[in-house]
Amino acid sequence: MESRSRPVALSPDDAAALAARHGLRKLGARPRLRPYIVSLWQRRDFTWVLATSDAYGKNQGSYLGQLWGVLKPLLQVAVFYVVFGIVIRGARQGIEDFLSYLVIGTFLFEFIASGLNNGGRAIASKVKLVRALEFPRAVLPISVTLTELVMMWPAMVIMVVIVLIKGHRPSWTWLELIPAVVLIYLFVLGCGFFLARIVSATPDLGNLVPIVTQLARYVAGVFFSLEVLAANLGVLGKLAIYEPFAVYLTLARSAILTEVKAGWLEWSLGVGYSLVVLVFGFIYFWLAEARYGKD
Amino acid sequence: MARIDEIDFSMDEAAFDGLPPAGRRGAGHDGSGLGSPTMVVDHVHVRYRVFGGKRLGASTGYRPSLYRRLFERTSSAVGAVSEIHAVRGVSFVAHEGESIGIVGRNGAGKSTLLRAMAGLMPYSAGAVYAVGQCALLGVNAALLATLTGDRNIMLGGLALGLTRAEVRQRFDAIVDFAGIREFVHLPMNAYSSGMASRLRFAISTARVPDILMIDEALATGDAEFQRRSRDKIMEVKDQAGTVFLVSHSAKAVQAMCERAIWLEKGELVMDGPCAEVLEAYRLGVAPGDGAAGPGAS
Repeated sequence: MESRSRPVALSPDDAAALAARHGLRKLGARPRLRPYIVSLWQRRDFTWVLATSDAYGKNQGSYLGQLWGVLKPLLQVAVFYVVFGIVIRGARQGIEDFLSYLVIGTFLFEFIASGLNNGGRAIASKVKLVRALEFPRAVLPISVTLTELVMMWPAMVIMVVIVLIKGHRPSWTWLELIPAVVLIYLFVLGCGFFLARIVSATPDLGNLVPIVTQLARYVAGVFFSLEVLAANLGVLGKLAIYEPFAVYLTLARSAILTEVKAGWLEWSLGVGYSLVVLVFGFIYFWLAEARYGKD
Repeated sequence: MARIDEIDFSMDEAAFDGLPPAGRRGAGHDGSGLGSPTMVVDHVHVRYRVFGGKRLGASTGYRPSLYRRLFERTSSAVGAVSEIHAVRGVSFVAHEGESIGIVGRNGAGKSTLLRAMAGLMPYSAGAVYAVGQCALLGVNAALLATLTGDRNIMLGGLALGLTRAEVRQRFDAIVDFAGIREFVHLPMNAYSSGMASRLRFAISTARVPDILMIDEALATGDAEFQRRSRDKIMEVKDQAGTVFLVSHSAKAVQAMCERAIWLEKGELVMDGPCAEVLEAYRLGVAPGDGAAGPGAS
């Protein structure tokens, strides 16, 4: 057998030189930030179709199909109303229209919670896709949080219907709901970037995300008035009012309910939280771009 | 929501009977008479972690005590992380117009190497350099069983990096190739397995990459489809420049490739003209030193 059957491998330097001579690019190297963002933008159709397909797929396979998109949030409100409106009547303290207050808080918080949970599993749940195709991995956190946003729309419609039934008259301030939801989405996406990287490196932490959102659910004033809570807690109460989850719920409620007020402080906090978390989350995610799919 | 698992297609050896061996047999693999390099693989190592894989001790033949059953089984799954060193220092250079078969037994690291070469599985040491777009025939992972065929075509096409307009333009060709015209509006989980794999193949090859990598994705469906898919691969190969085919079927490699690489336990045993490598692989003896062959190890 001739000797070329087991050719002597090139040295790393020679290999790199050969590659450079013929214009080959190194695989598995992290792209620079700007080309990365450009390639992410080029994949926007994929991101969107993946998000809507996932949203559609989640409600398939039952007799009522997509109707569950509406039924699930309705049933959820019923449960919360029974518990916090009827069983534990103390929760209603200081709130004029408890049902509307509860509906807005519940639906938006459910979006935040499921966005964080699924954002954290963005890489882990789609690792097959990561190992099969080449695309900027930031597509995945964006797509799974978009899925939650898409699935939230039926809940938003129900929310408006309930508020109308409760006698709130539509006004221009209702439009503030749109920037509020956009800010919430960007915040969730930023957290999603952070969590996706952390959970893909250490899957164990994925189990902690629901615990943390559970805690947030009980302190963010989803089903009680934060002002009443803050009055009882002093300095800690101030913190409870201005933490991100509470701020976002206040912004959304102030758009529709006249009894909740949000001034420039709440809005600038909302914008600040979103931008800071989004920018740092994205960069943190991008830094590990070449490592996703290893486990 | 059921995600379609990537199917490990098995090669139907009969499909390759009577085929003439792949062309270009005379061309050397050492650079003479070949195009410029399309891929340089330099001492690549791939290690990955597997969770929950700690050894359970002797598991057959005897019934452990209640204590052992209650506690040790659980504790064996706590902090159980195994590292698998699947590819150990593989190096080679691929050129334009080459089709290279990667042979080796199950677990030899063939598929892992292919994924590392496609830039999909991070490698822990070494380097891979490649020209342009690499594509592994593995769009399966992007498809959703609950979605209709037409929606999956859009999703899979976009996943491959096509634009919406490009997918629409290729839509009819994909549907006809897969032969699912009357079922295209049904969810994919209503398809027969033959229809589903034809559709996956059709979507996978909708885009012609510079380097095509195939992980035993041939030989799905009936003979007619096998002929069409082989034509498709030849067509892709002619445009792509370089084709890699992973298989443990020597016949498939012989029919498609003029060069072969033999992997054993993550190491490159032999790299050379297809016929020579396959002959050595069949006999289980590597040239030069017999120690590297599977028969001796």
